[in-house]
Amino acid sequence: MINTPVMIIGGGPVGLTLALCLSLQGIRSTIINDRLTTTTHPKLDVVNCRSMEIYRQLGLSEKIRAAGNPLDANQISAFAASASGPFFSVMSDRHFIYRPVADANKAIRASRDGAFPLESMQRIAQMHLEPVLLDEARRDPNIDVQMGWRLYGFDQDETGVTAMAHHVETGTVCQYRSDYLIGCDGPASRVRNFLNIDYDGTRDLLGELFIIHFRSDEIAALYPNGQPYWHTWISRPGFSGLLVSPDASRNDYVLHRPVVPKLNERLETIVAAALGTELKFEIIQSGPWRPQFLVAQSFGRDRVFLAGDATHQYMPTGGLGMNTGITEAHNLAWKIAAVLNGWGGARLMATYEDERLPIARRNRQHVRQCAAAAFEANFPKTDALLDQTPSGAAERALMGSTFEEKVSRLYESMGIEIGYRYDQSSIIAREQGPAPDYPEIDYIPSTWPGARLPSTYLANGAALFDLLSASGFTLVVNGNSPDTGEMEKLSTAATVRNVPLAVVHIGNPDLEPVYERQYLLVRPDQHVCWRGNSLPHDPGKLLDQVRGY
Amino acid sequence: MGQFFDSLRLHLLLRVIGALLSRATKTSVRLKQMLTEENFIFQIRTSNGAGGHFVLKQGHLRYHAGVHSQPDFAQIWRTPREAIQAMTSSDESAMLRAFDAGACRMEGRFLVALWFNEAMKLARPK
Ligand SMILES: Cc1cc2nc3c(=O)[nH]c(=O)nc-3n(C[C@H](O)[C@H](O)[C@H](O)COP(=O)(O)OP(=O)(O)OC[C@H]3O[C@@H](n4cnc5c(N)ncnc54)[C@H](O)[C@@H]3O)c2cc1C
Repeated sequence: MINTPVMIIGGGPVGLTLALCLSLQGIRSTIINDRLTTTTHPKLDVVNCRSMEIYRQLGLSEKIRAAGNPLDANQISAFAASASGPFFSVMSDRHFIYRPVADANKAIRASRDGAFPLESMQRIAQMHLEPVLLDEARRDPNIDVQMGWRLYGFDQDETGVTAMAHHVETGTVCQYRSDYLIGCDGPASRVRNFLNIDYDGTRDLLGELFIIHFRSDEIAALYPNGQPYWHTWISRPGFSGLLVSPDASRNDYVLHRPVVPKLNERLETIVAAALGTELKFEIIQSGPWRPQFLVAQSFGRDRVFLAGDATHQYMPTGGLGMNTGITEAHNLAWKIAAVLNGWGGARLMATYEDERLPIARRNRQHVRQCAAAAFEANFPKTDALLDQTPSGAAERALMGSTFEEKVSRLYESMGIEIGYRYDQSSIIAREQGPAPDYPEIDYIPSTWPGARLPSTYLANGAALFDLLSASGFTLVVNGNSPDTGEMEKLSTAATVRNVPLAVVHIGNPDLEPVYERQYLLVRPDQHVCWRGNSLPHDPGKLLDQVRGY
Repeated sequence: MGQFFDSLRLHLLLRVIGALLSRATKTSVRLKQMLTEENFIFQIRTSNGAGGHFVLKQGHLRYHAGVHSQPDFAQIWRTPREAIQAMTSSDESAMLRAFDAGACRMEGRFLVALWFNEAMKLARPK
């Protein structure tokens, strides 16, 4: 029997990120993964802004960027009759998200209003992201990664969880005893099935779509500066699809089709139709898949929890599958650490579901709207689209403007990425009065309790997020004359309870409007859990609430 | 003549779908919940004007024969036969395949189509 504080089932991106988040808080974990290697499928092609903020907290953002799209390469999404054109629309400047990371991050650093994330997104394939995470986990003394082990059962009792696994090649059986077990075991999660937790929602609303992964050294030349766009949506009479270049510096491409090939239809013909010209390419893999819009009815029970695709399955429109899972892992990790380190209260673990289930549903709704928008962008298509006539030109212009109006939400929805909020949670000190709006597309910076803290830079150039404690609470003090006596009382209350508390002074009057209050209490996951213009008279009571006591 | 009979069959099919949906709204918890999620007019017609529309309003779903001038979402089929084939197929991909092949045009809010696909899945006799 192997003893480990936290047993993680599944070493996909979410399981690995969870282990790294736990390690940052000094918590050891064991990951078992039934595959022997990381994925060889490109799968996801974006680590979004919020996930990149989390990876920055883990000290990993630069390594991930180094493994993905070069910093000076575009993140453009375009709409065209084929990869050889004509192009109806090229979204390159209308939002920072389409700009190369180097440019976008410059714009972010220049901003002073908290309206940007700390990090821009990263264009990268899952097959290039997973090795970075696995390598980091393997080198971390707090993490034991065991590839080739499959969970086949577990039992939980008052004091812990006993998990049973066998090796996929040798059949050797092993038992593990842990305080917590987390199912990061993907869409067909055994952990979820053992817990008898179903998804809500109806399966297979769109039937089967088709995906082709291929390599070509010649496609890049079709694009300006030999740099393929990130996404080329393709639509013309008789053909539609999405050509993805997950990384402009590599020759991997993915072609998505809304239908499976007809009988006797060759994959090479389909790829050639998307390219619109004869180029050399090699098909690596292909197959049908079924997009879903499902969320688990519950995120766990007692000592066993779920994260990642085990809690939700989304169509990739909007790139929220893994990215939602990363924020789940981030939420779960500090709570497990708080409990194992003795300062988390008895109610803390239950707030994982209370906080994350509504976000999973909100994201599902967004993904559905994005999927609908992607289909709607094709609706104006008629047989005259490619005619070299004024009416053909007018149709192409209409296709372009419809695309920008509809499909931009897949990329620009900062409200979904960084504007989500836990304001109904019992460990958030709720405020009286009307809560500010938190729309899906625009991000409106707010320190309303439950919101992610808006990110800014201090006068010395340091990013505020870099100064926040990753393993405890941070009191952010905004303004010039903090009440040192009251701060002392809060500090003492934290010490008595063993609650780690750091203090950061912003000391920049320009930022006062962004942070709205003189004091903000920020959790390890960078969410505000309380704010006020004076510190609470009973700081112990506040600390007890926010630690789920 | 064939087209005429196909149009009649399409009318009949839409009426049957209306009845199936109405029955399912009484038995399916999920469908009951879905009735309160949206208000819309969903039209299924052919390019020569045969067809009907479903109206979801304040929790009630009703089928009406004939074409509505301002549907929220419309499927416009090249022929009634192609519409019947896709709608009676148990393969959820049939609709997108027809769209891809140009047998069907769509207009309006695709979310309504997703709503309808889900409702049809719940209503279809198992
Ligand atoms: C075409 C496509 C494009 C996508 N694009 C995006 C995108 O742009 N952005 C985005 O965020 N997401 C995207 N996704 C979704 C993304 O790939 C998934 O959300 C992500 O892989 C989920 O990560 P996970 O770690 O939760 O699960 P998985 O990646 O499924 O990992 C689960 C792991 O658990 C292991 N496992 C399963 N059962 C057991 C067991 N019993 N014992 C031990 N190990 C087990 C599996 O082998 C696997 O390694 C895309 C998906 C596809 C298919």
